[in-house]
Amino acid sequence: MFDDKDILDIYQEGGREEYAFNLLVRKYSERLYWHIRQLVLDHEQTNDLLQNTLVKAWRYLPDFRGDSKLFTWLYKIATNETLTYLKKERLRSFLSLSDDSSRVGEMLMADEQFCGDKVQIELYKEINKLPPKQRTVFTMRYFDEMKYEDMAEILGGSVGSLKASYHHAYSKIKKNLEEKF
Amino acid sequence: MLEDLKNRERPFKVPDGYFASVEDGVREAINQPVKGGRLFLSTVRSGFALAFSFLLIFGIGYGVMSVTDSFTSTGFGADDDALSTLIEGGYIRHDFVDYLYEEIELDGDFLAQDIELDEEFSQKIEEGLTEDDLIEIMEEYEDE
Repeated sequence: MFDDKDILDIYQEGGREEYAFNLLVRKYSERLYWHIRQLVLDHEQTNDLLQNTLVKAWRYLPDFRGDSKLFTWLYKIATNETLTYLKKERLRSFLSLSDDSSRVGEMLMADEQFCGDKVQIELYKEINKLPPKQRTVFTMRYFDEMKYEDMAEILGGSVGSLKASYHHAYSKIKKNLEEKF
Repeated sequence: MLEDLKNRERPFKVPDGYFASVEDGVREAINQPVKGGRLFLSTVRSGFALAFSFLLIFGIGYGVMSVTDSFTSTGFGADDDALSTLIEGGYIRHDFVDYLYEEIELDGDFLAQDIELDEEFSQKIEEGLTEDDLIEIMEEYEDE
């Protein structure tokens, strides 16, 4: 597997941009996919957001200056795409007066690509209740065990505020799950 | 319980051969021509959406202020957080308030105010909290 420096060197050589980009896609698409999927849950929507992310990466790769790691840069694009989608969905849900968390439960139970049990369904329902940005903070820390410093680079904000946001979400979810089980 | 759940395998499956097909999908998407008309329409739509969002936010804000004035003048919840009162009374859904806060993108200082931290903890947030600090804060918050 090529490292980031090799991929960028090939890209900058001239005439091999597409090959370099394919290496980037092969190296990182699966990690990006799971980051998005943990947030949106549905495979088809995840695929759309992943495609959007990679198309944007292709478009903006000429401007990538290497100030951050290549994966951090890609992760940031994926996170922004996903957050934009989640915020639109949240507003749509509010305007339609629908109960989002029961919709999530029904969706997961009906989804052939979901193989979790009742407890996991409840966990995702609780995560889904969080505001989009807090949901992202929680998912990145809880599932991906990302360092707060890396999270701050991707999401913005201070390490302290991200820690507080995560802990607040963690306590809320823990309390609600313990009440149910 | 939450710690046990973290260690379990992901409960999601992926269609067979999906990751191998991502490259082709992206290449196809990149080669789609960008239509100028659609881009213009998308920009105009975004402008209307932004204007609508501001109207909605200011409208809700005005409504909250009006309702809060009538609550405090009748002595109902005079010391309570106005938004909590409105949420508990069923006037606003809590997730819409969360949505508004997210859109305004308040920073760490807001989080400190939300859980009524004193100056010592506000300072700690800026410096970086340890896990013990957070547990202490949340225990104080839960006791209130």
